[in-house]
Amino acid sequence: MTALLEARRLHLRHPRGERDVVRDVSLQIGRGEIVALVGPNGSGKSTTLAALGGGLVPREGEVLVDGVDLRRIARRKLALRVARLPQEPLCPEGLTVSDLVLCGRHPHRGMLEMPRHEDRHAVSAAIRTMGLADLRHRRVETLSGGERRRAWIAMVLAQRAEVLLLDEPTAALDVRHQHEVLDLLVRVNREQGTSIVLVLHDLEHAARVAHRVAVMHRGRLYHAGPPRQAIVPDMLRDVFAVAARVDDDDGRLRVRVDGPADPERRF
Amino acid sequence: MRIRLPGVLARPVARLAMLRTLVEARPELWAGVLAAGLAVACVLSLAVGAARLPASDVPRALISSAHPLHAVLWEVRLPRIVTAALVGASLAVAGALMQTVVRNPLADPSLIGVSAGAGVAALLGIVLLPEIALLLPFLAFFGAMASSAVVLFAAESGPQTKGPLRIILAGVAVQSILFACVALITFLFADRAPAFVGFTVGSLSGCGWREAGIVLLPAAIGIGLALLSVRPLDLLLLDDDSAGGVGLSVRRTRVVMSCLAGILAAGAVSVAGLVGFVGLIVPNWVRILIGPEHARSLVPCALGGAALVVIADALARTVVAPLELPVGALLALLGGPYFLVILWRRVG
Repeated sequence: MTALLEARRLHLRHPRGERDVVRDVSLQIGRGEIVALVGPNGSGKSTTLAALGGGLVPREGEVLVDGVDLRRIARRKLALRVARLPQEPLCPEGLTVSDLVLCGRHPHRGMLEMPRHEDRHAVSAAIRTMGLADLRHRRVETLSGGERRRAWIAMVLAQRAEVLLLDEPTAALDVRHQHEVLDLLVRVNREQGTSIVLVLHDLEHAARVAHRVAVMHRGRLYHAGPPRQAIVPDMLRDVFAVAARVDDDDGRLRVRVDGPADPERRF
Repeated sequence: MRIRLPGVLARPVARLAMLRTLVEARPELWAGVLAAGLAVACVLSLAVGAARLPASDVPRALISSAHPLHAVLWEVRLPRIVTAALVGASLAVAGALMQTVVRNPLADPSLIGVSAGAGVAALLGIVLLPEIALLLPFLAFFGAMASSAVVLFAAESGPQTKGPLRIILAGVAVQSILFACVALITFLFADRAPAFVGFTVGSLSGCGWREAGIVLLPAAIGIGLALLSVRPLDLLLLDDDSAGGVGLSVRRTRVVMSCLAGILAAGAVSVAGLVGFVGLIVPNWVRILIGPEHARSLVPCALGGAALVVIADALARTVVAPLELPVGALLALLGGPYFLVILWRRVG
């Protein structure tokens, strides 16, 4: 069986960058799977995610969608299969929530077509899923941080792609909204079978939502596997340079950081 | 503090206020309001000039060849008004396109070097081929297109898209080179300065059906294609990553839209010279009143730009008659303060 989305020996560098920030990364994402990309700052998570969505052309290696090289798929066709949400998306002033969510329908619509019934349906379904029904006519710039993040996720949901690539969907959200967004993503995954690849900083969150955790370290893939095998004290020592214990707390993974792995080297 | 109005004014002002509430509730109506405004501006502009006639006589003077002003209206005023309207619409839409392309409300068509390119080409034409004044608009047009091509190539060539900031930087660089050329030519050929001045301050003086015809084609192509691209334009307002993620070819859209802006501005500049302000202010004004979506704002933008230039040109040729003021300067003088008031009221 071919994976829905597959990275094969990716070497990536930023446009005009001088060295590879990601080296030799291979990763497969199956249908209906949630994969969390974790790792320290600058380990290449976001860069890998950008390449998976076609936002960055690999210097070497390839990204395959259902076995087809991503570069050979037209942008609009690709957008029907892979949706991506950058870390800090930019919303023009004056756009309402439903205007923004309708942007996600672009690949489904002809150039001059007015929104059809299924477009409207997808838009209102995405808005409802993200709990924004009361705010649909509000301007995006007047929303709170959490609401705005949900509006953007609603936009990629309306795209109805097979894979969602989300770069830190919980960044800059308070605890309640972090959980809310993650729960909503899990629900979308269960109900619609959408595969999700997401960059997360919180290892406990990763363990809670992901079927597999891919740990990045200095541009390489350190390990990819089920949360309980990926998030272990050895990994935390090697990758994050911290001494930590990992406990099971009633089926929930808990990471307790004790201090720097090497007491001589302070944080 | 409320200002008490004199009794005579109270009723018309109340009517205007009613109209305003109506239009604020339904932004689509702005297109209608602006179209009506443009029509009124055209009729008034037809009525004023060296020989005046009452506005109510304008239709009869246009239709009946027996009317003493029939020929003046058809041969002098109407073509000039049509040119003014096309120039205004072109500049306003070009400005809206550029502001979207670089995601910056301060952008205007001159940003991609259109004005400077047209200026250099026109000046070279005046200096080198002074006999062939007929050639001038065409020279200006190709100069404008050439310089915008250089800017876009510098900004968007290469394997990866680099974001709209590069257009601004490349535009500033090319503009400063070209304006240096303008200064040099003006300095070296100071004896022909009067011919230059008309071009650099922007003027519709002497525009006839030929000029209207020259600006019509680029205006029709540019505005027509812009209206067909309202959705890609909307998506361009998102960041490059998000727009690419929903399937937009960001760089291609950016280059095509800049080209449209270039064509529109080149057409306007080639007959009217360097008319600034319209391309900067009208799109901002429309965005404040109507919002950012292009499907709703492009037509009002074109109508607003047209009305503004028609009104400004009518004033330019009547305020100090028989002299004519440069319409470009007049526009900035009239519109700048009005725009400041809108900004102040929205922010305050």
